[in-house]
Amino acid sequence: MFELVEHTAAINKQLARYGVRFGIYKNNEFHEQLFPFDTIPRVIPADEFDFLEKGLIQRVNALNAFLADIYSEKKILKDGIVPEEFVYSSSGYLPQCEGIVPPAGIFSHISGIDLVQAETGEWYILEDNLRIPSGASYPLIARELTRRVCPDVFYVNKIRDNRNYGELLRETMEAVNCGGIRVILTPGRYNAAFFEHSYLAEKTDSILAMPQDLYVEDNVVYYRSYDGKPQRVGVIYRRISDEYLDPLTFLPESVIGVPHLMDAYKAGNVAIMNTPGNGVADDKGIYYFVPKMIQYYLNEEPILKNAPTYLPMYEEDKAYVLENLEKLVIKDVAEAGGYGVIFGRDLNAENLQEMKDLICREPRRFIAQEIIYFKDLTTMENGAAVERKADLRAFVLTGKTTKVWASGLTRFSRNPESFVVNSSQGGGFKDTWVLSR
Amino acid sequence: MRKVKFSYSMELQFSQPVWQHSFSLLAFPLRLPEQQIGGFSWSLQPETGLNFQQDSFGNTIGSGRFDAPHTFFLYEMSGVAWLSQSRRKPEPCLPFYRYPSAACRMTVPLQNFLQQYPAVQNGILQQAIELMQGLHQQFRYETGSTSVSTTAGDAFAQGCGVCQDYAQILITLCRAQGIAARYIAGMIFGEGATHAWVEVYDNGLWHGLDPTQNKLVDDGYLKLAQGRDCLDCRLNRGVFCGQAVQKQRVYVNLEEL
Repeated sequence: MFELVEHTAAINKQLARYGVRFGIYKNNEFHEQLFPFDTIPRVIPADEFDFLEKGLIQRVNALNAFLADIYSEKKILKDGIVPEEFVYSSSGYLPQCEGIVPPAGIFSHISGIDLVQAETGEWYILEDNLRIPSGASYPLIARELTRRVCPDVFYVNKIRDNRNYGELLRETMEAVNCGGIRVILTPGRYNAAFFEHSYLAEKTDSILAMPQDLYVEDNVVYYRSYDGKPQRVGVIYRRISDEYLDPLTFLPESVIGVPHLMDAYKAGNVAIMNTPGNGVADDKGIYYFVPKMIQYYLNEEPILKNAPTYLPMYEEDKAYVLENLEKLVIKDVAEAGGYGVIFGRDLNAENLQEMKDLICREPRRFIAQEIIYFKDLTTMENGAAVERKADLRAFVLTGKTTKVWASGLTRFSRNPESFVVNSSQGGGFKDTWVLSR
Repeated sequence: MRKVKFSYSMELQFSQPVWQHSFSLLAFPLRLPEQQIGGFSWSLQPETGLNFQQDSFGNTIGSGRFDAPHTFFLYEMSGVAWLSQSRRKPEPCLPFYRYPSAACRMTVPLQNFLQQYPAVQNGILQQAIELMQGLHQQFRYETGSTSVSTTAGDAFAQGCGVCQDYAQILITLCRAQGIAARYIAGMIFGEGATHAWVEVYDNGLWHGLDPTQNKLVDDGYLKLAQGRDCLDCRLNRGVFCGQAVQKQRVYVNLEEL
């Protein structure tokens, strides 16, 4: 596979031409940057992937069961498995969604589950993303371009084809389609992942719509096409956050929403993917309870492990966290995209004390985790092979059944000191090869 | 029990024509054992239909859309109600009423105020009444001193406000002591504007408290909407295209029959 290295510049040039970019807002200004692609893939052997696949399906099924329960009977709260305040203090919980049963009962259609492999070879779940996880399009297009410049590599190595993502996504959309066209709803070209929105629309044979292209009449959503003829919409894969979706239900000041969309959804006339309100299940605090959910809803032992996590709201955990802060990583539960992540070892004595005081004052705001020493991946940097930290975002799709895409987004940190691999922090990406045997 | 006649009208005047006007109306009397409704009717100008749904808080929402350019919008409704607090029936309470919401978050001054009231001793309702009495002494009514987006914390800090602020402050105080509390938008006897008050959940029943008037809710209150705070109970929501300045006029009337 190292023969790919010489094509790095050519493939990156193609990626730039296709508009594979990441938009970042900094100081209220929009900056677009390229998402650097490293041609040396992450390689996952077949048996290892089988194991991950089982574990991911189990996890996503439990998370879907949790969401269905929280917005209806709340048995897991009544049985005291998850403390109620974790749900109702979470900004991802939406009271407006109480009692709504989504089409086919599915809440998380596209789950982006972030994992890391430790030096020991063991895999750990870092976080679940059940709202609008992005990133599938990057390995998808990178594979396509790589195959084009280096087809031999894919004959010699037994690699599972990952170009079926569009088909999988389309099946997932069709599983909940309430009768009508498929739409991918994008806030527009100034969104960080606009390339992905347009690429996936093409790959799933869906309409790429801006909010003003959709309207609701008598609880039915229509797409206003160029010929002026309205087309009924049956499923919306929306890439707009919950709170902006419908100004008449959520934030009234939203100008990127579709008025009355939630009415049409409640009436059962359109499916929204992923379901609004999912944020309650991918909250960094709720993460702690996912292994318990697996036991509770599926009556199975969790296959994949969480990183060892402590919740300072529990006295016992708080004592441990205060005692061991130097060797832990602290995460602010309200932040995402690699923001609000603090490594205890980077703090001086004064900052360490400040952090401890903050944890004591707002114990619910933070979780603490043991640092996992990632297995480094070989990456090319200025012509030299270097070792860099990397994670893996696996894409798990739930339609009639739950399936794991045999690939994933491998993100690596370009800073050798950093453990934070988020694209919004300037990292790069790799293709993920799953071997077929 | 009291038999009452109620009416509500909400008029919007736009300085320029607006179009593609989508709206959701919540101004429908709740149908409850303690609030039986008869002879109800509504109308809209410009004439258009409404789709009715229930929201998660138990309100009826009427949704509609008016595409053609217009400068005037009027919603009117009226009917008769039989009001009787003694007919309230036990009902479940959704857990989110015990937690902070956007307009009802604890602040340091509210926390300091609450220190005078040690946690629930003589029962939930009694505790809520004491908080209401304390608030009523400390807080001053002043028309126009706050807006719909004023939070409980902001209003408390400035020391004065209107019924919405009294209600949201009392809700915040109650929830901080673990009492489930919700915001009610509705009408009281007389004519003029809508009113807002509070309900607290105790022993299976919701009990109404009116912190603006420092009294328990009796058979002179008609409920239109309920929710976590005033944002859930916005009786008229709308979005439209056009660069218009809008003027809203609301007129309500509740009288005994």
